[in-house]
Amino acid sequence: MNTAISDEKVTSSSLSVALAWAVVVLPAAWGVYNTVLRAINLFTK
Amino acid sequence: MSTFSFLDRERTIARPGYSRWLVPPAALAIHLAIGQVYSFSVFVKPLLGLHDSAGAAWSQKEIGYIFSIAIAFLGISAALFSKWLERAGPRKVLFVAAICFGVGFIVSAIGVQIHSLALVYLGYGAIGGIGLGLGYISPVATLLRWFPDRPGLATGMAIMGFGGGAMIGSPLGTQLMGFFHTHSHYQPIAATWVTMGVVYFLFMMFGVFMIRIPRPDWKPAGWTPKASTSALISTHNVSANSAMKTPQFWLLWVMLCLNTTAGIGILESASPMIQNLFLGKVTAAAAGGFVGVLSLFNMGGRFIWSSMSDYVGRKTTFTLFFVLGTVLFYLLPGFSSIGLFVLTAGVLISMYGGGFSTAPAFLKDLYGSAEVSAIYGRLLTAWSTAGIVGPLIVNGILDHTVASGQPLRSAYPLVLHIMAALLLVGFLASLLVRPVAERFWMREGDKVAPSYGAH
Repeated sequence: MNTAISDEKVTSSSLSVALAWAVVVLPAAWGVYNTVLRAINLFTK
Repeated sequence: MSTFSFLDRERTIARPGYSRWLVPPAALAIHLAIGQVYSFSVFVKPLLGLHDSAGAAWSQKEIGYIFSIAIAFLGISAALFSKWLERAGPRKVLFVAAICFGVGFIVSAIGVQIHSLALVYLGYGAIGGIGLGLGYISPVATLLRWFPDRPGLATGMAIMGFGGGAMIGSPLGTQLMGFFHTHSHYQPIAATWVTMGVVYFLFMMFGVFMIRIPRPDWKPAGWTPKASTSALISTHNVSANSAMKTPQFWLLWVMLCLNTTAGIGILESASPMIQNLFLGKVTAAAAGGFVGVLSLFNMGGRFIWSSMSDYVGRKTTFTLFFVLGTVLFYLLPGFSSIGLFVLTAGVLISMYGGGFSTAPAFLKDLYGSAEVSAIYGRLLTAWSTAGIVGPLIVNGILDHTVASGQPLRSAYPLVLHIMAALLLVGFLASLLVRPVAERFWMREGDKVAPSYGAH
């Protein structure tokens, strides 16, 4: 018999998950934006 | 109760109902921070401009050692502390990593202020390097336990952050130096490093407080471990000490080392390479753009290739890296189209990044998850080795070409063809990977790191 516990009853709110992701996605997006700006130099004369 | 009891492994075990999707942001916070090391090059030119009271300056080579020491200490600390990582649990490990990484910046700032290179080596190189080693493995191993159904996706998410860290660190470092140069009387590099030390410490603290480990008997909702569809996916665990005795560990070590060395063949000299191969057609600013394009491929490859490996298998993924890589490295110097050159180099760098993120999932397949952090820590010495060997090959050929009076552009085909040959050796190593022999499996009653169940 499989007695493993699953997270079928997840109690963490969607808001807390979204906020946690925002903390890392926002600085990462700023970094990607700056990199894309730099990369554009390759395609402009 | 101790002040630091919140760091204990027992306090890190997730409560019932804790969403596993809260854990990747914790891992990403750590990796986005420590990935700053790959943007160290933004400090090279400002450091070259520093002089002591007698007018002496540091050489390019001396400054280059700062990065090399950091990467060497990453591998050494990951290997030396690999067993402790398993025992202590991720929160304690990441707390120590954050302190080391932050203090490393501060010590280096003092080194810059008093013009002591030894202090910069100690700070950014040794202390910060230990922070890198501790901070690199623990989030990856923790995510592997939360995503037993998608180990490639899990490692891809964390290690993508390490690639992305350079994208944050580079503009952050440049803009902070510019700010302190024009708006303060502080030494700009020292003030930037103090600021970065504090900011990165706080950012890593987010990861420290968010990180959780699943209960040993936890599994994702609706997921039941399937009977293995591949002989290379073991349902048994192997201890770190036993793993070192298996040929699979050393084959994977060789594969990671060669894949990394080949990637360094492009990354080490990306800007001068494209300018020399397309002489008069690519400006220095456009070459900077090429480095930016490679960073994007590096980050994307870390996520895409390892996620793909969940479906096609780790061995197939690595074999593809080596076969496609050998062909593309061989063809690359012959391209006359800039667009084709950039795209091909991008694909090659995506596979360099993909090697980093697919390797820990490969380890989990071969050895189970019971001691995967300890095994992974030891595997990372392959990266440190490549970090030394790769630049040695590239710079050795470039120096020899310049010394013999030949144009620099004539050196790059040789560099890239050597990388193709190295990948061919990697391909042979990948063919030899077989399932781990039964005699290495942990038996009932063998001691497993506490609280870490074996999915």
